[in-house]
Amino acid sequence: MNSSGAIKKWISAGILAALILLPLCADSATVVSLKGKVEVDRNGSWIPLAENDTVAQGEIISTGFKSEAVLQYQGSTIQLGPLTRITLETLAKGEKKDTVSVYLNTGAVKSSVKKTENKRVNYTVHNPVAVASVRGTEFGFSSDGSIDCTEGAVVAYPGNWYDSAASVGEPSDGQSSAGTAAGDIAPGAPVGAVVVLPGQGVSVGESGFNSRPADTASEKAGTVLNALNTPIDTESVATGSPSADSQLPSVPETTSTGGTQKTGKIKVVITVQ
Amino acid sequence: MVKKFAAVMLSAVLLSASPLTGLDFGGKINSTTKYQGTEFSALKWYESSAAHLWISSLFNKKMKLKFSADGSYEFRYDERDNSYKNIVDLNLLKISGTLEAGRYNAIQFAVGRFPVSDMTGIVFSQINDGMYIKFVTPVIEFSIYGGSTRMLNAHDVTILTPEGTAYNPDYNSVYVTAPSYIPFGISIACPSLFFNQTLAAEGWGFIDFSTDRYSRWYGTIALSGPLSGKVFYSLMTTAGSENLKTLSDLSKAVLTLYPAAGASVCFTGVYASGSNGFLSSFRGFTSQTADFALDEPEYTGMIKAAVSGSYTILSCVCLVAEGGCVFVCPENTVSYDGLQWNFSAVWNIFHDLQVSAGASQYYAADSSRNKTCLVVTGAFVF
Repeated sequence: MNSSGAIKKWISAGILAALILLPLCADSATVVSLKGKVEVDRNGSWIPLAENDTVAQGEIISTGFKSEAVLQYQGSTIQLGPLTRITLETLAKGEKKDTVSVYLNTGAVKSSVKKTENKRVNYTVHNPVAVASVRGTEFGFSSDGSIDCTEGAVVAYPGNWYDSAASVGEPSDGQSSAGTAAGDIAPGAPVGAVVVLPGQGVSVGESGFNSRPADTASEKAGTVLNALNTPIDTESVATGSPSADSQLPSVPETTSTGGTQKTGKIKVVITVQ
Repeated sequence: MVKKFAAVMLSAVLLSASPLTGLDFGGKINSTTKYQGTEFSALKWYESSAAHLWISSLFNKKMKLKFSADGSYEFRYDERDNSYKNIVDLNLLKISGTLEAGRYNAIQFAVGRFPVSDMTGIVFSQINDGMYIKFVTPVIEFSIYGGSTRMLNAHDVTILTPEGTAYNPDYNSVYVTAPSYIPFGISIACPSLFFNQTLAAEGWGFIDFSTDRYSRWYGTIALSGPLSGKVFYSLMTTAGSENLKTLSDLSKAVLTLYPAAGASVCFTGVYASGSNGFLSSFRGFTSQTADFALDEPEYTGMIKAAVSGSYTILSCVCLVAEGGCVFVCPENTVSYDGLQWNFSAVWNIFHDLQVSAGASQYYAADSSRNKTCLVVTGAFVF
């Protein structure tokens, strides 16, 4: 093999590598605002962050007591609540889509996901308990597996079901509705993933859903009524998914005699899933 | 002296074990005062006061193995028959856990005494002794339940028995064993089957082990899901049979809206068959009051349309209102039975203290069945 042939081979290999790597380049996010103690883990030591600092893919960001931070990447922002720690697993800018994957070590985050330059955004927040993948969304994610959506749509599923396949592919364009398939929002989402719409929430456990959107809405509406619940109220079993009657809040017994034969609590908020 | 020593030792053991084993324990004291009757001038007093003690312990985190128990003492007084009752009950004695079966599947189980409700919440809803197993996969959830009613306290659960039943206990005792039935149920649900809707089917059998020969069978199919982010619906119909000789129906439609944070509005329609054509009168297994009328009818031979709403203000007060219209159809004709309303306010004064007040009325076509009820409750947890 002559030297020009070898050079051509090296150039071809270089171009090929560039073509593979260019679409997804590791990137960094900017700290747009912060309050209190916010630090990044670099080479094993915690370094305080200031506004306009950048944090790179793979870095761990932590907030202290009564502290908050907002990071921006392209058009999307992630707001870290107090006592929160996240790992920026993926910050990748591509030709057709941007990919963001955040691991929530502890605490709670709120995300506002917006696409830029007509590129789609594949945005995932996950921890061992739950996974949330989104399309054009504002949503909250707590380390206990509570996910709520305020805009757009979120696909949620248990942490056990997560693999990196969830962040492959591009979410389809369009508005989300009650009938939107999970796969349209988060390509690669496993079968059984739940679509969470604006105003809805779910509670996800490691191996299943603790409450789906209808149950969560009912629980939120009945927060005052359920405030004094003890195990006799929370350890009930309701067979079948559609009715969560056993979880319905009960109000004062105005209907029953309360004698030996009647139970008759008034059930107020009917949930349907 | 021995009692004091035992109490001190028990307290010491509980307090020392608490941080080590995740042991949690507490209590609840609650009281209900009610005045009810056909009209305001003839209200009768009813009083109930109860004290609960409970304990809960997560003793295996990996399997989520949990033990929970709740015991109570309750005093009841009813002015209508000037009766007093002292009731002792074990309301909860449950061991539950979860076994993970591969990455996507799980088996949840519970054994002991705990509240159980069927899909409708009308056929079977009470504390019961038994075993529950649920297989959870991403596409299908399958559950089975089997138990016994024999050891339950009939003061706190009401199993509907036939006319002329042989079951005739002495309700003056603090613990009255319930009639003997073997309830068992099978349930299959496909969550997010299509367009995020859930299809579920369920079968329940209640085999009579007393001498009444009054076994009952029920099959339910239901469809539910979101219509939008804040609107949900549920449609379900249940076929019932007594001793596999009759056929009855219970159908229920529910539309629930959550228009704002802390607010809900719910529209409900229920049909429970009477002797309508080929259908017989529907009857559930456990007692459920169908409307606010004085005779507190069960869900049988009736059509009810109701709207209810709740709203939370100041994060600690919940206002609840309900209105409804009831028709009866014991045979092949439908007639108006009455109108009802209810209003309640619940106030969490502190995180461990709750009081509530409420009023309801039923205006019946037959005024002797009118009912007015005023109620005040209080609950304190520790």
